[in-house]
Amino acid sequence: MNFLIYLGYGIAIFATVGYCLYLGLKRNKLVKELSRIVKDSESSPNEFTNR
Amino acid sequence: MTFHVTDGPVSNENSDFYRLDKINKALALAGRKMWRTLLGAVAVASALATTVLGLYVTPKDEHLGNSVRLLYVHPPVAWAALYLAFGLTTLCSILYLIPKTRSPFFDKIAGASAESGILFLSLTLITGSIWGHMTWGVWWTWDARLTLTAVLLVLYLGYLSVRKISGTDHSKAIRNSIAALIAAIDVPIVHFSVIWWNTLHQTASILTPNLQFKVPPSMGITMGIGFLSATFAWVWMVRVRYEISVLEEARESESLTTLIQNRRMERVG
Repeated sequence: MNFLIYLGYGIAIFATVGYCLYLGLKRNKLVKELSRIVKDSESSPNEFTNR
Repeated sequence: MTFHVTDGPVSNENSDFYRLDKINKALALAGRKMWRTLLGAVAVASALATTVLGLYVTPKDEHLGNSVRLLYVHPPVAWAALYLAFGLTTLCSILYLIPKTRSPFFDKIAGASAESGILFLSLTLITGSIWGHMTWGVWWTWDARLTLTAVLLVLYLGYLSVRKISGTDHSKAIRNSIAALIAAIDVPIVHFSVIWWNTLHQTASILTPNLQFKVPPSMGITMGIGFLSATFAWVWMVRVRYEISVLEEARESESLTTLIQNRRMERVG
């Protein structure tokens, strides 16, 4: 079978999976960052409310 | 007159309660995993099925040979870009412009959908170019369908650039919605280009005007699974991109609040 057909499938799969991975990682990074903020504010509520 | 952040009453939006409530809501949205996981699993399974069936199970075409296998990828990604992604972006932009239905949710969904649309449209152009090389003997030709599709890609890249321009949330969303509607004008032109002009690109080759399949069942089923795969992948992308928008908004709000609080502390100090 022609190499170009595999190339077409390969580009489509890698681009889609790559974008999904990018989205998933970005989302997880934001979740971690915001969870840390919530955890910090819960562990020292006075510091936050006094600011 | 100089405005100081410590002037005037303290806004509720800057209170700890409001700030944490916003973050918690964003985290709760991101925590709803079931549908996202299910969608992702179905998208991956159908993409695998399309690849295996398209490359190894379906027969060669009598006239097109093996190049017909690219048709299990090219029309599904074009469908996801032109009709699903840009269709939803247009619909959400209209809904935002109508005062009765106006909601930041629609602006976020419009942006999320356009971003995935650009990915699928790029894949449409790439797979179409490979197909063109195999069947027409050229990677690119200034054919009406191809040229208008490339213009569409540029228009939606412009739309994503417009989304980056700063402003208040409302003014940005209005600007985004108008830009989306301008870009959307090209979608029906791309669709009808093969009918309106004499182009190299073939006309509708899957279904007849009476909605009858023009291709053998094995090809029709493989293509159908390809369409499902692109649809589920698009839904997953829009969903996750929307979650990211909500999380980013909560983070920006947190950064702004911290900045305001630091300025207050400086004044007090």
